[in-house]
Amino acid sequence: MAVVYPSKEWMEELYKKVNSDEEYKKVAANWEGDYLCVVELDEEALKDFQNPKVLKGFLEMLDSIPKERREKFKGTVNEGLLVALGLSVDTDISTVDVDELAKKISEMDPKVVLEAAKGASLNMWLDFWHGELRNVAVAAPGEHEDAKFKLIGPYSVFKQLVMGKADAITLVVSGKLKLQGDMGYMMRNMAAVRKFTELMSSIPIES
Amino acid sequence: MLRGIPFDSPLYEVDEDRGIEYRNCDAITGFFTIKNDISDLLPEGLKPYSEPAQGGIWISHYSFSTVGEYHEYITVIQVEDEQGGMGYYIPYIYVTNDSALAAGRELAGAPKKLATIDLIKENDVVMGYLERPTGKRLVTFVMKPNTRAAGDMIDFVLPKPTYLYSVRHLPPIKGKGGVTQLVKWYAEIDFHVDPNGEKVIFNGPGTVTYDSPSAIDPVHKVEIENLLTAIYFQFDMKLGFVDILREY
Repeated sequence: MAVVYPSKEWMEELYKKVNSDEEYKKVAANWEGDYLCVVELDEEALKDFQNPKVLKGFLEMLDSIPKERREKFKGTVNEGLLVALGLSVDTDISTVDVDELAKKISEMDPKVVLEAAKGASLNMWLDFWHGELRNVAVAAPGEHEDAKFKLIGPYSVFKQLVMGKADAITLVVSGKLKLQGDMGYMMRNMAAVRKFTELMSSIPIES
Repeated sequence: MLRGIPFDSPLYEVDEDRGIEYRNCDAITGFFTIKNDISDLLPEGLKPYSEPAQGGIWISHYSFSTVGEYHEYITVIQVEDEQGGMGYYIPYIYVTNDSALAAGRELAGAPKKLATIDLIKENDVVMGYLERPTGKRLVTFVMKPNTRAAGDMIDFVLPKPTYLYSVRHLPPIKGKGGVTQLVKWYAEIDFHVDPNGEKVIFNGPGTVTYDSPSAIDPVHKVEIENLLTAIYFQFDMKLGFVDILREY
């Protein structure tokens, strides 16, 4: 079944897909370590947020962060994004009229929003351990900064990866995604990285 | 100077301090996971760096070097030595000039053979191939260098220096004078930098095929499972020697 990206359903599908794949278990048998994916807001994200389904998926991801941890957004560029969208850290996201907000975003000048929310990102934390994806969750600002690897890039590039239009190694080699962490360890585990991204891009995405 | 034979007119002369120097070269390299067990190709003292093992193919043209102009084909296996160093073991290597062949074999133990090798640019594709003898196509590597490789990852695939390992072997005569040594050497690759300050490295889709396997030149024994990255680059280079790691 196709799911919306980004969304909680997509994260759940990823979790199921990885943990049910025998080949992944084998090639990642020695892998120990987590990733923090920093998905930077860009014009394509704002364009996609004009689609109520995508916007709902994004808001539900934010809503998956418990209120006390959502406090960490305060004073960050990510709070700037919420404010630019007419929301706040304290907004009860389940009460937001998604259709109306999507319409409002379509009427906004993307340059103004991006300027107000310069550097804003959606951070996803993925914790891998010996062939298993133990956890996939949305991270609040400042959380999991000590992850073994940090993968940073614009929303449009992550979308290419998720939709299988480009593979992670090519995107990192080209510099479109920046990878920070123990590269020696990464070099020993290229097969695991390749298999994971293959599984991720095999999830059908609802357009 | 390190000199080969004949003593009065050596086939190669290498300045030990400067190594073998190369200018204005270009190459394509494919880095891949290896499908099969390659432990029987590795000498004692080296083990695969990863599980599954990873390797690469390099096809280059050196427009100038201190051992002459030539083309080269290399198969490598990414390995770890007993000191924990990462590098590449060379099970198969081919060149197109006798000076490079002699220097590589005698100084480093690189198991070089003469073959027909070319690196061609046609339409939007760069193609490298290895034939031995001419017409018997062992390997074809095509790639389309369509994206600038601006990331740091290449520095980990081809670090400076990139360590290489080979087994220098001189068979004994009547049990005397034989030598079998694990030699660690290096390639110091200086990628060309364009006027914008960017390294001239491009990646893109690629395919490596073992067109026609040969028992005489079994390069196909390093089976390719997944091509992880393919790059085209322009560079200068220096080859030098690190140490003899082991006497067998």
